[in-house]
Amino acid sequence: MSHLDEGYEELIQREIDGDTSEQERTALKDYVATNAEARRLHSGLKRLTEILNQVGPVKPPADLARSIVAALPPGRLAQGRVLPPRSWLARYPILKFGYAIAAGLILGLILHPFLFNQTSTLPATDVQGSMVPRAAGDQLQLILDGERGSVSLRVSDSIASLEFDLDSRTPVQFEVGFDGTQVEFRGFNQQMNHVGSFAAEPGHIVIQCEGKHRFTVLLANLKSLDTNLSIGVTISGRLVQSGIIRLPRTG
Amino acid sequence: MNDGDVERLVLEFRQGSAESFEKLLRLYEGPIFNAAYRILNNYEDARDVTQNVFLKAFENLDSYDQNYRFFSWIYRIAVNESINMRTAKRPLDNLENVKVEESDTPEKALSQAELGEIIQGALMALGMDYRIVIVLRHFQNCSYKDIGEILDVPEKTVKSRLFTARSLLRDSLSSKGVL
Repeated sequence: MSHLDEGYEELIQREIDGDTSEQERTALKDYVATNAEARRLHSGLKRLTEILNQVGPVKPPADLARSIVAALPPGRLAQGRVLPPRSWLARYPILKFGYAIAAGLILGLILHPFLFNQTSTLPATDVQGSMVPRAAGDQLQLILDGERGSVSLRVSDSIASLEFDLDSRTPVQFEVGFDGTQVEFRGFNQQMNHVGSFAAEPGHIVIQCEGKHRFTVLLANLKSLDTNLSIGVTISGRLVQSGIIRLPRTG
Repeated sequence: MNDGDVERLVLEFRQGSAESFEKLLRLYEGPIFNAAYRILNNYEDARDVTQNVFLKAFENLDSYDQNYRFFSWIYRIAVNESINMRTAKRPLDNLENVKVEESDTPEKALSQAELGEIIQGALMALGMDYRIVIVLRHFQNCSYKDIGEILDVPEKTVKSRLFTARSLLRDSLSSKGVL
């Protein structure tokens, strides 16, 4: 049971929350000086606030924003970037190039059978895309400073082929973002010329190339839900185009 | 970023701008995740809630009433999603019985992590209504007016709940030697 005069309980709380006027603060100061219970309540709440303020924020999962973007239903977003960049890579673009080359080399050693037209675990027809149907709303036309290219999705029973067709006189970087817990990278195939670098990690693929290229990224959607692939195109460190391609269930 | 900047982003987002959505996502991802984490005390559940909040915001943007602040709207979704998550998991656990860690003596110096765990334990021992006002006021720095808008209750109710919640929390932490 409170023994404080009416209104002072609320006033103490408001003072702790910084919600009092100068006049109210003066009145409260006088009251607290003459009332032991008010003093106890005031100091207790003040101490509680100090303790609570010592608790810092919890860091969200690093891939949270990316997985949210990947899970968005298609159709609504039409312009601008959709692939949240990695902060340190965005801050130091030169590292991105070095990182991509290093990762590409390591990945090349590890995934040798999957690289450079040797997708031994996958039917050749799937890789080339000639036998698999194209889903609706599955193509992104690229317009790169007057030059053209496209990114198309073809889906078979067990695999999705993201086909890149490009003719560019300037170095281009493609980034493919997706929900790494739902979509798995299965392989990379080049039909014309070798790209400058290729790097894949859960939820994120980076490809750098220049000139005429036709290559395919093979993915599997492990869950029974549709999901999104976000495509970003960067030239000279500047994101020039982005879009979303819907990836239906595979398998 | 002030309210006007946020409303401009919301407008652009409504017109289909992915860049504006990304900015809103970056702005609110951390606070929403933290609010959900403090309410639910579970990292993966907080992740799922945060994802659901943005998907719901994305899907229901046309029904967003711009007479209210976007901040209040998205936080209201977050609180409701957290409550839904908690309700769905109720048969599986009993968060009200989460043990509040005891410190050895009142004088013992606690690390940030230890203090965080003790406070989180004490928070989970509060009823949901009280926990939410503490989280919004102390971990999200919301004003009485903000909390009222988010919970759709009068400011008077916010003050009353906050006072009770603080009293309970203070008693709980005092009994554990933290206060």
